[in-house]
Amino acid sequence: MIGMSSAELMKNHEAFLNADLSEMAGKWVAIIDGKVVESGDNLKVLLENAEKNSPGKKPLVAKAPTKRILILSAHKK
Amino acid sequence: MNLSFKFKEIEVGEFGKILRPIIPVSINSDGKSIDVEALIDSGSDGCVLPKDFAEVLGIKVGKSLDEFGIGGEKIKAGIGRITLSVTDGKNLVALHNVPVYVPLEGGVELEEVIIGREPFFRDFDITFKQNSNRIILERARRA
Repeated sequence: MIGMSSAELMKNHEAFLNADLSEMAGKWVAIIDGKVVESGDNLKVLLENAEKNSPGKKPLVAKAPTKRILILSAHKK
Repeated sequence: MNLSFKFKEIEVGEFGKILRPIIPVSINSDGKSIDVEALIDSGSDGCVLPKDFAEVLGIKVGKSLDEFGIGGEKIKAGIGRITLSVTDGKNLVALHNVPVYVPLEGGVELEEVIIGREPFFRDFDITFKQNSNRIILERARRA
């Protein structure tokens, strides 16, 4: 894990597990210090904003889940 | 060595609240890294990264393959290589030279970064204990 401690990562992961991200569904989110600090459609911009607003902190990023059901192994005839 | 995680509770369609196996990983390529939540998908043959994610990391993606199916659609995708690290805060495992598929066509939006079977399920024996809200990754000895 380059530039980030496991403790920080797990703190941010715990925040992801507990966060209600429904208003950001389908967007990238960035979590720093256990809080969702940025969201948006463009990952590059998201990471640039996170670095600008929280310099030196490495975010945990995630796609905010949508309400769509995932069924992957099917195909159209 | 075991790594242990909780599921992510998500509300979807007719099912209401479900538990999805999403874990934090670090994806490294060419000196850059991003920590990201990723879906462990036993139904996917390989790992899949969204195109924008691969671009931000600067992953070198090979020429496109036609025979790549995702969500039932046949699309063009390329293959890159990454280092995939996973930790539960107690133990850390890094897998090197992991092949990843990157969809190259528009119109494909991945819901998650996907960790599929190859090679992740060779390196870990994975147990989904949904009723006790635990995902157990046990480091495997390859035969």
